[in-house]
Order: sequence, then C-alpha cells, then structure tokens
Amino acid sequence: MRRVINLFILFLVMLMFLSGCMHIRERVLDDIQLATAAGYEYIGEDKIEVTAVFPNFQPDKSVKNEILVASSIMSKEVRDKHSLQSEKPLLSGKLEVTLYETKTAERGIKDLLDTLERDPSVGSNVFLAVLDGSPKELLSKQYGNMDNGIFLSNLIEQNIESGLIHKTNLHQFTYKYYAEGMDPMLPIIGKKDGKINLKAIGLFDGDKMVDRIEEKEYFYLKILLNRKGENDTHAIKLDEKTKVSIFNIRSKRKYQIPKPMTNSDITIHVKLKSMIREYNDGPLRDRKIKELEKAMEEDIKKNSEEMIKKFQEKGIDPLGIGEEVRTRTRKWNKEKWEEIYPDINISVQVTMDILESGIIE
Amino acid sequence: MFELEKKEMQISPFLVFFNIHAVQVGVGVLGFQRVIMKSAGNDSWIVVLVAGIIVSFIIWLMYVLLNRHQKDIVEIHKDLFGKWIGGMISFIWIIYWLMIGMVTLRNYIEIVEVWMFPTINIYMFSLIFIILAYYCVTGGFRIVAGLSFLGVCIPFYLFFTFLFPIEFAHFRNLLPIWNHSIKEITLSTKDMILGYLGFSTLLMYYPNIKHPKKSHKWAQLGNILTMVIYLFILIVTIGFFSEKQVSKQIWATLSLWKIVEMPFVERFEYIGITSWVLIILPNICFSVWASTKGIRKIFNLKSKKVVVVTLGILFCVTVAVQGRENIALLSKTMSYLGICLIFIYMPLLTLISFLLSKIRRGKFEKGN
Repeated sequence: MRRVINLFILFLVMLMFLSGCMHIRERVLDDIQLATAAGYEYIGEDKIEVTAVFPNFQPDKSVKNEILVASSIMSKEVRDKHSLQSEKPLLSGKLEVTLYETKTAERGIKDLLDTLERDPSVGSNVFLAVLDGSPKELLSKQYGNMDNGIFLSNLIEQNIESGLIHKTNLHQFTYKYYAEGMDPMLPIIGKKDGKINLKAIGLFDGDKMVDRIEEKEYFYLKILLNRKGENDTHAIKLDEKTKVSIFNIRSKRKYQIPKPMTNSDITIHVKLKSMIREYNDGPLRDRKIKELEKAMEEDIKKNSEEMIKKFQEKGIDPLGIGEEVRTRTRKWNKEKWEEIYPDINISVQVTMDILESGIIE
Repeated sequence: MFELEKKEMQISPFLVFFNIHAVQVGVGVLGFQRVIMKSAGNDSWIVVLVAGIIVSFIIWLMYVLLNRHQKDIVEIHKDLFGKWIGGMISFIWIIYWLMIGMVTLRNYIEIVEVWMFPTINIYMFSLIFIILAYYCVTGGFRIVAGLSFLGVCIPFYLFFTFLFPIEFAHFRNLLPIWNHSIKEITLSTKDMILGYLGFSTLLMYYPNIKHPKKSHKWAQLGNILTMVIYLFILIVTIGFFSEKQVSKQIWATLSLWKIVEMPFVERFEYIGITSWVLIILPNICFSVWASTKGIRKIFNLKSKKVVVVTLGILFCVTVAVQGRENIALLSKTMSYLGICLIFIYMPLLTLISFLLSKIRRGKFEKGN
C-alpha cells in the first residue's frame, strides 16, 4: 500500500513539472484581439480584401469598433497582415458574422468558405450574409453601443427567431451547398438612411449568387421551406378598401410526388392556421372570414407558384424540392434531376384556416 | 475452477458490462461516420446494427471457448498447440492488443493536435499519459476494471450534448431505406467492425471474473450499449449533415459539437475532447494490461518490469508515427489484424478446441 502511495505522490510531483513542457501556446484574453466580424471583397483576379472588426472596450464601459483592412491571396494570410497592423495578435475564435460583398458573392464564395470550414476555432453558428455595399465602409461605422459583430449577429438572430427570415448560418449554408437537391440562400444586408437592414434574400446556384427575392416574398419562401412553420406574417390587399394582415400560428407543408424522377406533377400542400392581426373594412363576420380565407389561399397559391416558376427558370432549388425527390427514389441521379427539374409542373395547394381575429370583432 | 485467479484479484460479473463497453468505445466514435458512409450512405445505420450483431455472436463464441477451458487464451493455446506454436500464436494476439493501445493513444493525440493545440509536445503528452497508465496497470486488474466503470459513467453526459444538433437535423435524409446493395453494406460493415474492436481483451481477463459463466449476459449488454451509442450518433450525423458534407469531415462527431453553443462556453469541443481522456484511458490500460499479462505468461516471467517494457514500446511507437497518413496506416494495420484474429481465427480456434477435445476423449476411452 505504501508503495502505491509513494508512486502516486511521485506521479503528482512529476505532473506538476511536466505540464510546463507541454509547449501549449497559451492565449490570455487580455493579450489578444478577437475579430467579431469579417467582410470579404475581391479586389483583383485572385486578391481578396478582408476587413476585420474587433471591439475596443473603453474605460467608461462603451465599446469602440476598430477595423483592420488588408489584402492578400488567401484569407489566413490576410489575418497575418492584420496582425502586422495591430498591437495584439488577431484571432478568429469569436467570429460571429462574415459578410461577402455582392460582386464577390456573384463570383462564388467557395474559396472563401474553406478557411471557415477548416479552422477548428470557428464555430458552425457563424452567420453568413451578402452585403450590398463596401464592407470597409459598413464595418467602420458605429451601430449602437456594442461591437459591430455582435450587432449584426443579433440583427440576424433576432429576425430568425421572430420568424421573418429563414434559419441560416455557416452549417446551414454548407449543408445546402453539399446537398445534391438543394441550393443555399443567404440574407442580404444593406444600408438605408444610415441604418442596417435585411433587405432581401440572396439565392445561390452552388456557391454563386444568381438572384434575390425581396422582402414581400419572404412569407411564401418561408412557408414552403420548412416542414413545420410558425410566426410568419403576411398582409394582402383584397380590393380598394379591404386590407388584412395575418399571423401564422402553425403551418404544415407536405409534398405529394406520385412519380418521382419523372416529368409528372409535383404538388405541395400547405396547411395554415392563422390569426388576424390587422383588418380594416368594418366588422369581421363569419362569412367575411370565409371570404378572406379564400382570398388568402388564392394569393398564396398564385405568388408561390410564380416564385417556384422563377426558381425553375434559373435552375436553382432553394426550397429543396430535389431533396424531397431524392429521398423518395432509389436510384437518384443528380444530372438527370437537373435536366428534368425546369420542366416539372409544380403546383401549390393551400388550405387556410383563420382561427382567431384578435380581441375585437 | 482450479485455473482461475485468486479471489482478491477477481471482479464481479456485472463489471464486465463496463469493461466490454469501455474498451469498444474509444477514439473510433469520433470519426467513424465518414468511413462507413462512404459506401453505405444513408443506410449506414443498418451497418451499425449488423456489425453489432456479428460482434455479439463472436462474444458468444468466446464464452463457449472460455467456459469449456476455464483458462485465458494463452494457456488454451499452450494446451492445444503446445508450448512453441501456442506461444507464437499468443504472441500475435499480444501484438494486436498492444496495437489497440497505440492506435487509440496516437489518434487521440492527433485530435488534440488538430483541434486544440497544434504545437503540443507529443513526447511530453504521451509520457504523462503513460505514467498514468503505469500507475493504473501496476495497481492490478481490479483497478483497471474499476477505471473502466468510471470511464463509462463520468463522461456519459457527453452523449447528451449530441441532442443539440437535432435542432438543425433533416431526418428525411434517412430515406429511402435500403438504397444500397448487399455488397456495399458488407464493405462498410467491415469498416464498422473497427469501432467495436477491443473486446477481445476478455480472452485475457476471463479468469479474473468471479463466476465467469454469469458474466456472459453482462458482456452482451455492454456490446449492446456500444451499439446504441453508435446508432444514436450516426442517426444524428445523417440528419445533421448532407452526405457529401460528411465525406469531408474527418471527425464528424467533433464537428457536431461545433454547433453547440452554451452561455458559459463558446466552443464545446474543448470540454468534449478533454473529457474524452477518461474514455480512452481505460482503453489503453486494458490493452497494456492484457499484453503485459500475456508476455508474462508466455515467457514465464514474474517480474513487474514487464509492464515497463510494454509501456516503453507503446511510447516509442506513439511518438514515432507522425502525420495523418502514417496514423491511418497504423489504424488500418490494426483493424486488419483484428478482423483476421477475431472473425477468422476465433471461430477456427473454437472449432479446433471442440474437435481436439473429442479426439482426445476418444483416445482416452480407447486407452481404457
């Protein structure tokens, strides 16, 4: 027994000395700078300019945003160049948002994503966004009393949670990029009167942005995208006087694909249970609600079918219809699917149920 | 029961549950998905089940053999094939057990290098680990078995963190079921077996179990727990990643953790990988213990210094093998050796033992 105890003490003593030899580079939080947002822009054939933002915490508890701009052929090289400009080393462990300038997104962002995918210190929760405008200019401004990375990440996260835009982050983008029957989407950020806003959603073909959908179409996209949805909002104008805005409590989407991998029709069934949020044409009677339901159904059907037509013309599939077909066929063939996809007749069947109409009639 | 170990060196039968499970789950869990999904794709969960059932059958076979002889495998070899040939075959087993330890430790260090500290001094790291293993193994088999109990229970909370990725999972990816040919399934079953290897150390510690016949059901349950864990992680992976995305992830299980975000910790991998030490420590201890005991028995050594030799070999190989390709080569050699020994040699041995006992009994009766 004593032998064991001796051995144990020896072991503990050795441990204390040995840990010093592990050669681990320690990173003390006060001695590094953590970039919270990065903006990418191609400025030449294969030269990228990266703007990194890091917070500088002031003694009076306010936060000052500082940016570093450098360009090189690869983004990790740029980080080294950033460090050359700063008094502390710049690290990417706390990266929250990466922005891609519109032209860069149209050219393709696969090469720029490699650094995020390969680096173990970057999480999958990083938000990606396309930026209308120059990253340098946008990131150098101050938005609220917080650092810009957190601000942008809160902006996107808040809108995902409240149901205005689809779920998006680095993982979702790469998932859809590698999935065979689906194309990715990213929110597009723009500046309007000095304020940042999520102005559109960029549609990608592979890693290249080819199209965008505007804010008024978010609703159609969202109810078709997810198997189950909630919190979506929508407003329509029926005629001169009648305007109504609804709020979606629960929605269910179901695909009906009778003969997968053929030219036969695909039907998407959407069931919505909603509440009226705003209405301005006199009192709401039961009969009126039935009318509204009908009108809504038609509006959603027409607009979503148009939207899908547009996708088919461009040969992109942000809704993942290909994935639905893939999981229903045994011998999936990506090339064949891409060939037949634009000619398939895809229709949307909507059932709208208005359950409540607020606290007044 | 004359060949069994002394009472104070024995463990309760139920501990076999933890022993079997602890040795099976090592670093394999962290990156098995890419390998098996390469050929079996979304049907890989079938592969996990098939491999688990095959392993279950082999465990049964081991018990048939061991229950008949009531000895460890080195002595069974001696009985059946004589001192020289038997010793040689036992030596191959010992090399195999030692390789399990090497592969586990080396792969773990690689993960630490890639995910956490690229500049880590691997000499120092392996040395510390080996001192720890020395401490455990010299404590005797009861310590090693107890360690496997802790190595299963303490880090078990880690498996709950794989519930986080379900938020983003598309379980439709599991469809269509049975989308792959029998040939593809078989191919990846062979790869999946690697994840279950290590349970063969049972052949060495069988005499250390109290009422060894009763431990059979615990061994089977341990194997089932391994299967359930693999199945759970695999299904989450299939849902969370698209197929081509998985093929890019060397450690898909660790990549699952990249999505975990908690208020108090930004990167969960750091906690996860560090906790994983507790999972691989019993692994290495079992492999070192089994090979040490084997060497002692073959060469009739009583000295405690044998363990220093085994650990020395483990250390040298671990630090000598560097770079992903070489590490993969080491793992591959180990898995081939394991598959040959367990799936070809084990049934053969059981058969030979059965036949020889028949023949010998026949001779005995004739002699009378």
